[in-house]
Amino acid sequence: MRRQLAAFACTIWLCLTATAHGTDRLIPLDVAGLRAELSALEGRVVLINFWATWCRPCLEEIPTLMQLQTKLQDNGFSLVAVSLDDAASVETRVKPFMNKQFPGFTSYLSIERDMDSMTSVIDPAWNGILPTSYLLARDGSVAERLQGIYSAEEFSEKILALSK
Amino acid sequence: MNTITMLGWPHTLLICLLALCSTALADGQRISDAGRRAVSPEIAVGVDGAINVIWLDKGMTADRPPPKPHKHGEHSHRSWTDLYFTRSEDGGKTWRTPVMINEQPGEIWGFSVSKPRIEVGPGGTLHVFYPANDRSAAIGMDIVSARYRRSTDQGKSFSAPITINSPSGKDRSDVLGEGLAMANSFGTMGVAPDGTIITAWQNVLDMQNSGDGADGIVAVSTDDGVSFSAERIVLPGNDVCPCCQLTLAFNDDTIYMGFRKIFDKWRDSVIARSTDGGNSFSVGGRLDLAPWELQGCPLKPTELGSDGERLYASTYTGGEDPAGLYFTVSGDGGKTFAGKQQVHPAAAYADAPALTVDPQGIVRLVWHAKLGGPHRLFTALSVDQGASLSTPVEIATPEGKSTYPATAVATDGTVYVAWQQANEEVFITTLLPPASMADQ
Repeated sequence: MRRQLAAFACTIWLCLTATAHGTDRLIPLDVAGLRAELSALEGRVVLINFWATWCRPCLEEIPTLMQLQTKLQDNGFSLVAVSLDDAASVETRVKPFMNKQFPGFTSYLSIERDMDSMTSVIDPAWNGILPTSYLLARDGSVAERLQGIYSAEEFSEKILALSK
Repeated sequence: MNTITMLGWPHTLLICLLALCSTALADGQRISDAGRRAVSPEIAVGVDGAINVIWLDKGMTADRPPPKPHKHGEHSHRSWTDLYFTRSEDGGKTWRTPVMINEQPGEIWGFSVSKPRIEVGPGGTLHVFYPANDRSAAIGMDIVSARYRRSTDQGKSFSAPITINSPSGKDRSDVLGEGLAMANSFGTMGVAPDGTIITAWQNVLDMQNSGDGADGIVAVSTDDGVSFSAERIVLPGNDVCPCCQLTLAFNDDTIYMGFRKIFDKWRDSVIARSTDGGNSFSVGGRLDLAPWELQGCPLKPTELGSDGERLYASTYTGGEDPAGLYFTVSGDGGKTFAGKQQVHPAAAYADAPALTVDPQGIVRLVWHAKLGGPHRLFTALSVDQGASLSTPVEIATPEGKSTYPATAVATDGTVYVAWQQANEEVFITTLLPPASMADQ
């Protein structure tokens, strides 16, 4: 029953985000929103990726993330990308940048005061490094913290191992 | 030679107690305006004892976050940050009303790990160095410039800004995010004992491959900031980690620059040194920390301090096991380091070190750390030329998150600590020197 409810919530979430993505691929998110997001995604393997436009390695990794999302979405996998750019610059910096560089990429944008507030939802001891990704198992627990650039093959191997 | 040598454990215990006592003597006080978003402070104390503090101002708290409409084709700043200044001439009892000191509103590009810098020259001139939002006249694109202002009237007024970096006319938006064509950023400034001003920053003008970093650039002023030399590439090779702010330290005849160097897939703290007034630097020692494999942005400066003989360094590293904040010492002018110590083993996460060395040679570290709750500030002392570090002691600050401390030491050994408090406010407190505590 719990799993069915989770699947239903996930379906609703996917519909809502798909609608939102249709008009805006950069969605404001606060701590409560991230918690709700993760709760809705229980039952799926989730990769949460924290990135920023000023982090060059993060930008190098985005095509890989987009590839994973396409390739593994039918394997019970969801990608949650969260930009830690300053929310004040959303209109002038982040949106124009995404539109130009990654027109197919959908991400949340943290509207918290600082980066640590958002990452602490997942990892209270986050060490300030970007990109940082967290691989969440189906029960919502953090299976692994991944810092720096990872290849599509490395990500896929870890995701598929948790998807079994 | 410093006066304190070869200390036994009773003295070390005493120092721990003194560190504890000194933090309990002074309450932190807010020095930024209520209702404004104030972050990332920096601090400088001159020989006159006056305390000078700058910070980034992000507008009114009520307007947070302040997205601004962007008209098509309109020039847009890459941040909405201003630089504020205040000063106390009575040991921190009273403070001037904070004032904005950048010329153009929204001019400052900066954040907690790429802060603007303030220093005081031997004659009392205030020097301010900051990354500025700018527009390239040559290519009509947004850039970040390395900019400087000074004050010769104790901060009542500041000179017209000088853009120190040379115009490049190149578009490197292919390697920079945010649509910037060029960024002269993650820089620092220091003033040598003879008054020479060293400004240093990074740019990615010559970056070639995806794994490349930045070059390290220096410009020097020998006339108290009236003019600066042409920029010089002193750290060539595109291997300076481009998201780790540069640092400087001085003794009588040597300038030390701390940076994080890209060694293939590792990003490790390295010292460069100059013995010709900043005209050239030679890359010397790598800190005695295990190599840190990371293809990402560490955002970790290498904090430095010198007592004239030894060079002290502190930085976070993920290479060591356990990862964390470490402290180490060089006795040969930064060529080699030894005696690494984890600063705060009990912390879940410790970072953002600020290091001072007082006239007695006492080293004080201040940093932020998490021990199961929000970030708090901690301090520790070394009274034996870095051979040991006292047990971390929490600094009394208001409840909530206290982060990104900046420190400066006065001639009497008093250390002033400015930091960013939870609700985006800048606070300051005083840590008395151990010697004065022992006298009481």
